[in-house]
Amino acid sequence: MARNQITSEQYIGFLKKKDFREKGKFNIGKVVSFAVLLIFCIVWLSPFVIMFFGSLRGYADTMLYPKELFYPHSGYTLENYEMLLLGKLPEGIGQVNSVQDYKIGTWFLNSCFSAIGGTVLYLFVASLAAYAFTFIDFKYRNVLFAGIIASMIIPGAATAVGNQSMVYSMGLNRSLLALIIPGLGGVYGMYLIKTFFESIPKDLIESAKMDGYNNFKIFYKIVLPLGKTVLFVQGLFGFMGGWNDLIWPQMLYGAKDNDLWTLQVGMAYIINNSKSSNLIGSALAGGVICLLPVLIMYIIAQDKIIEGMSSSGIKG
Amino acid sequence: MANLDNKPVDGAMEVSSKDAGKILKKSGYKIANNDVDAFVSLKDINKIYPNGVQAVYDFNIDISENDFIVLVGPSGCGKSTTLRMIAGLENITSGFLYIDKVLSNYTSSKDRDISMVFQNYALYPQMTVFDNIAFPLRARKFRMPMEATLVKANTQVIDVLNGRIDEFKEAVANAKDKALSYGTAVEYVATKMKICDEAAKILCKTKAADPEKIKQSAKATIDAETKKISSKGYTMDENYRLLKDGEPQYHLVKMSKEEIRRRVFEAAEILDLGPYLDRRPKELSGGQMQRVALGRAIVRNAKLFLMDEPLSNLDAKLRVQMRSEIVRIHEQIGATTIYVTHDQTEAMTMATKIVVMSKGWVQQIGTPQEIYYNPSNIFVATFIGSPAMNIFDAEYDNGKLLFKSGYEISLSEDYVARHNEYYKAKIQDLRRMLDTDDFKKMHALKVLDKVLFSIDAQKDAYAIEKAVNEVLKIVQDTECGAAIKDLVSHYKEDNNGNPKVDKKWLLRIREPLLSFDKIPSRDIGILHNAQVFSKEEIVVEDALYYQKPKKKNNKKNVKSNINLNSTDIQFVNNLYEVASNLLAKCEKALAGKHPIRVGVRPEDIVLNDEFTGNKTDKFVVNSNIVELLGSELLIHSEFAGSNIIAKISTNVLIKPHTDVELAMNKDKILIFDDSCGDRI
Repeated sequence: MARNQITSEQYIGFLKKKDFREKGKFNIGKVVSFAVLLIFCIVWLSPFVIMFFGSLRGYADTMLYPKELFYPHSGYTLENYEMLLLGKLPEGIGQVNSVQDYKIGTWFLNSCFSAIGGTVLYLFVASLAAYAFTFIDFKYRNVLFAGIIASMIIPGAATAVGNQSMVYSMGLNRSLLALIIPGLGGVYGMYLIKTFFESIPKDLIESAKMDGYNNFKIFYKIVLPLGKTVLFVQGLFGFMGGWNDLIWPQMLYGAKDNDLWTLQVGMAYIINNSKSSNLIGSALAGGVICLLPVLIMYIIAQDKIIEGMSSSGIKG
Repeated sequence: MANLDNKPVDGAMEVSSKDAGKILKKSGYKIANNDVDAFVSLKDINKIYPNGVQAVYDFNIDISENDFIVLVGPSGCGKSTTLRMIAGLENITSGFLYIDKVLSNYTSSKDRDISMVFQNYALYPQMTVFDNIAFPLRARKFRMPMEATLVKANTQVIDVLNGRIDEFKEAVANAKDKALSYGTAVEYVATKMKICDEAAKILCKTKAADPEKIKQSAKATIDAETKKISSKGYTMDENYRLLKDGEPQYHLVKMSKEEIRRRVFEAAEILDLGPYLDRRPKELSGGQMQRVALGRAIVRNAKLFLMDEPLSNLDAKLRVQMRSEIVRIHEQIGATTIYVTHDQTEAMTMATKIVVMSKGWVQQIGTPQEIYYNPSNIFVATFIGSPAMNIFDAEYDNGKLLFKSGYEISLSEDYVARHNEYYKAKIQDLRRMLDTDDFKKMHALKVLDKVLFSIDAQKDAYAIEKAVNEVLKIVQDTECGAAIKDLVSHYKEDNNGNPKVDKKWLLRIREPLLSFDKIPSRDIGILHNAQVFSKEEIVVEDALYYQKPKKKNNKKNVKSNINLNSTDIQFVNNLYEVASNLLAKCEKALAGKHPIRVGVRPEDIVLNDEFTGNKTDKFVVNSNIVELLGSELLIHSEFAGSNIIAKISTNVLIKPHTDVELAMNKDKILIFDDSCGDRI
């Protein structure tokens, strides 16, 4: 009988081996999880697919023949894009409820100005503030910082009206600067940058100070090069925020002439317009145009974004 | 930086308060004290952190030029704080710091002309080794001789074109092979040909294609430049330096690239960093990183080097290597150095002068030999030396040391005389201390507090009366004696001679007692040591007053912030008690038998058979552990109730757990006072 007995160690080894053998085999759990993930993936991707293919169909096809997504009723065409970019209306469109022209080019430039300019300026201001809060010992530093952090709890919408009237009274009611300036007081980015700066050894700063560098020189010679990754991440966030922002530009310029609109305001107008005049195709094409720059940027900078996010401890 | 040139104001000069600002501004806010002899001088430096912790007490040292000072002590003893105060990274709470006779308390660290090596090197990770070393040179303007750069460059151009043209072409070809960018190629050619950057630039630009034409234009430039120089009243010497009335002229400029390169290469040569100059700190080993940090410090030729535990991040072997490297560099460049470490071996091997610190107090300053052979107290004796000194408890009886095990050593007359002298001096010193006003006040406070905080004031009027009379007697000679007398008598008159005392009255008497003049720091130091190094456990209280921490201001337990009228204050300092106890012990010690501590270094415990000098009687111990260290043998054992370590040469092999006959070298025995740890 003794020969048939096994020790517990052997038994565990046996279990392990069994597991190991089963790895290559059919595993119901894996299949289920794969299926669920696939479904979610399709669900999330489908709006983009509908948007992209819809924009390539006739201007009213999405409404009239919703099922023929990949085999368009009137064949693949660029008439939606022509309508938006060139202002060329397809024949037989009937009465278009258009009051304002589509100035995609201007809106695009406006968006670029607000997103890129705002981001660069914000990075400059926020990193300077973060440097001061991290490395300079001034009176009431902690109190001030606590106050600034506390201001994070106030929702942006609550101060929007106040901001608007302030910007108007500054005489910026017809200037694109109004898109940028209120955002420079943002706290989140400053806090993010400060957390990163805190990980820079203080010895570096002290040593540079002893060598005769002043604070600003230390800032751009030592701290900025070391904080590249976090600045990149914050820059990306800032760009996304600036690019996607609708409420603030809409509040400022929505009722004004469309030379000041950003792409998002224009998009909102296009969508609004398309609902009443069966121009769904043009709305979809507008969506593609809005998405494209951000997508291209992401593809180019993909590696850096992931590296930056992981190094500065942000979870997407 | 412009004030590098300004001459400091004489500190002793008397000025009116109106002009003071102007004069100071003119001198760039520099004040010199010509009474200071030393190169660096610290006078009564104290450091109290904002949270009330005092890190350094009365640090005094004079450092002469080319010294290598090592501050050593256990962690938390204030050595790094002292260094950071010298560096200007921490404020000095009180005291004076003179660097090169200039009062430097308030100058910013960049104006003190010092360079520092940090524990974790503080290299800039984004820069190459070259840039790291060149960093301090690029940071500021330097006082450089004025040069006729254009003349120099063009002369060199002509020189090259006249004979070294092949050499130039070869250098250019080499630069091309290395795929250098234009700017770097110019610098490469300049370095290779040993000509200045401007000359290389002219040559590279024209590619030396038409030598005659270049020569002509160079000659024309030289002529024009010479005219310009002479019209300004300068003359030029053979090194192209500008002279006025025979004196070379200086100006403050950013260092030229060429000069930076020369200096960095020089530093790299001293430190053997040549092959690593274009690497980044990430790609270097610890020792190399340390060398880069040293290079960054020496490249600027600063007056003073500060090093904050620079070797503690290295492994043991590298540490020994770098230790000698640092000593070699110090000898080579001869800069005054202040070095902080917690490792006594480093201190002993590197220093020309050691400062031993403990809990913020300087224990001893001296050369390594002095510190090792004549430690001033028991802390220094046990801290310096590896393995540590053996300390035994014994009793002193008229020239004889009686150990617990019955072992006896009779000391020479020398020791006896020194013993008696020491205690006599000590008693005199303590009596002087107790005779000062402040100690009298403390005594009075002690008497008063005893009744104030123990019994109900109304009940035992007799005890209070007695205490008050005693207080009066104690303080009658002090400057507040009259005031207290007045207080007491005034009260008595009011009550028709019937004493009716209450707590309020006692508190009013107590008030003038609570204010102290500055007790000399030396006295506090003596009493501090008496508390820390004696065997009796007394609560050590460094602050003079203690205020019950309120929730609101528990952080501000600093002397100046205490309201002396509050009843929350308790006088907890036991300085008087310590002093009087010490006095009593010293008097007892002079009278006869008293406890004492005996210290013997491990190498002064010898094998009885081998040692032939002046030795004590032999004693037998059982060797517990025997460690072979190559040339020496360590024997761990027990003797007279404490552990003993003997270090003997390996001529005789001793096995563990055998009986060994040992003796002590009689000349090297140190005896320490039991109550305050001082060496007798």
